[in-house]
Amino acid sequence: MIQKRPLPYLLILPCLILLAGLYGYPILLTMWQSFNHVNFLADTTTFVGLKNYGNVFSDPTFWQTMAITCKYTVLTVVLKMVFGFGVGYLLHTEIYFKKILGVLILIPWAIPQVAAGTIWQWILNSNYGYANYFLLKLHLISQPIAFLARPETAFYSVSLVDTWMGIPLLAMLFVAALDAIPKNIYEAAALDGAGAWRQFFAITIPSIKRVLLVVLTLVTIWTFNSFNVIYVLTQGGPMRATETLSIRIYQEAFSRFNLGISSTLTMIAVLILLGLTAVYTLGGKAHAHQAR
Amino acid sequence: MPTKHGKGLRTGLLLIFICLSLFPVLVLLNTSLQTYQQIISWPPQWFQKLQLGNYRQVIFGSKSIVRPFLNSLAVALPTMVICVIVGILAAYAVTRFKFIGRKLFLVLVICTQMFSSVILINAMYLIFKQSQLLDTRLALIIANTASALPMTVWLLYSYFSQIPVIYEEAAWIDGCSRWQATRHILLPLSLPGIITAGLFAFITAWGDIVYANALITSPALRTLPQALTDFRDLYKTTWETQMAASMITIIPPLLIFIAIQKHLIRGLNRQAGQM
Repeated sequence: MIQKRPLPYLLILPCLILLAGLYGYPILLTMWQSFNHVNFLADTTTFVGLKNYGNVFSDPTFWQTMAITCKYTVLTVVLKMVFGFGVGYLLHTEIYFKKILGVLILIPWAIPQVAAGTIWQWILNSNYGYANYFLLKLHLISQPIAFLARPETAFYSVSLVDTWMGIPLLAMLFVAALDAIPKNIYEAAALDGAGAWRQFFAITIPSIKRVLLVVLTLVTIWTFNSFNVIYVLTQGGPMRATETLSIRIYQEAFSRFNLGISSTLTMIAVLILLGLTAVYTLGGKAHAHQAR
Repeated sequence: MPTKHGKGLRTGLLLIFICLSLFPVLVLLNTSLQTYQQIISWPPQWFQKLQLGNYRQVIFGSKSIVRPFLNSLAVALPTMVICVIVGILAAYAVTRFKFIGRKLFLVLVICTQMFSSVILINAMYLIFKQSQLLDTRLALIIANTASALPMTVWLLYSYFSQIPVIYEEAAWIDGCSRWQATRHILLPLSLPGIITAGLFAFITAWGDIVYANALITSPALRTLPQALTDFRDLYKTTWETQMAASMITIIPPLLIFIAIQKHLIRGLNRQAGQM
């Protein structure tokens, strides 16, 4: 029954006003800024049309940022998905101390990202850090590495820390999806003589295909948005090796005081996020139809 | 379906993973209980000659984090209250009424969740600058409400929709008003969900560094995440006190997370399964 009364609209009104004021207006304002040259310090704004976009697209460092963002997102998402699924699968199976292990798994997720960043900075410290100590002791390296001071190692370190924080949530999402598969399907398959591997690929994977896809999209969005870890660990350095789009948006505005460019980059990020969100909502729907 | 076969092996595998993933937490605890001389010794010492001096210093000393701690509370608590009140109203509307635009509203809530604070930071800075709210707690509360509101609404929506409307309908038949039925039936039944959503909003605001760094300049208003980065000095980072401060920062969200994880994961799952 469709309600004609105004009550539901009145109830969502505060939320709508807040969302419009806190998302709608800021994004429109950012769009407007992206057509302007803004000087933070002199406090002047001049309309320049599409010049910011032209500048951004013809700037080789922009493409470098996009390449880093892409590489970072793909690598980190793959790591998160693989480990998240692995841990989730183990937690779903019959194991000892299931409850306690399930809670212990969550701890990295519960740590505020800024605090996690400071801890890892200490672990990866080049002089006294624990990472160097153990790698030296295991004879994996011959001398201490300044993990966060070298472009290559900094990039992989940040991705690894991001993965470390992301695994728990994914594992829990996968556990729930795996637990929801009716047990009698497995029993029937076992009676028909299907082995463990056969069951895994013929039942488990198809049953959670939709969840896998949705989680993949969500994780891609979350990782694309990663800011806190990178900011605390490297601030985008060394030599811009970890400067993803999110970091660059912030640095352009608050270190280089170039709000116009920063807004332009923000609009590019918004378009990418809208694209991913469309995949997420439409993809989910298409599969829902299929399921019916 | 995996059988009992290999139960020990799987537990072992998981234990190895857990040990690796909790290693940073052990380092944190260990370092926070040592002196500077100890932490720069090689090889690293594990839980020897423990002392609470670092904690004393970050609480009573020159780099006291009591003030930032209270500042973070003063931002996170109002954010939580705003999000929960606004969220309950919206969640009630979308779960108890069918109206035109309902689906659209839910899609809007999902979409806004995908935008991080970095996307909004430029505009927020300008808006607060124009309204003379830069460097105020109010600005942080408003900005953090933006970060936390969409997920709070979603969690409440997913919880409310699990509670059958029949209970309330029965109360209406018995002569209760809509408000009475909500107050005496829906709200008590959904209390765990409301607590989860509120605590989620709290944690979101508690962990924010993007808005705090951009909007707050005066030392008196600095939040806990900002204070954590203050231990980095040009010449010497006092890791041991920084770790003690990190430990104090971690404890509230850690306890909250463990308490609410079940509901939080259920809400997120609904998002993965619903749309």
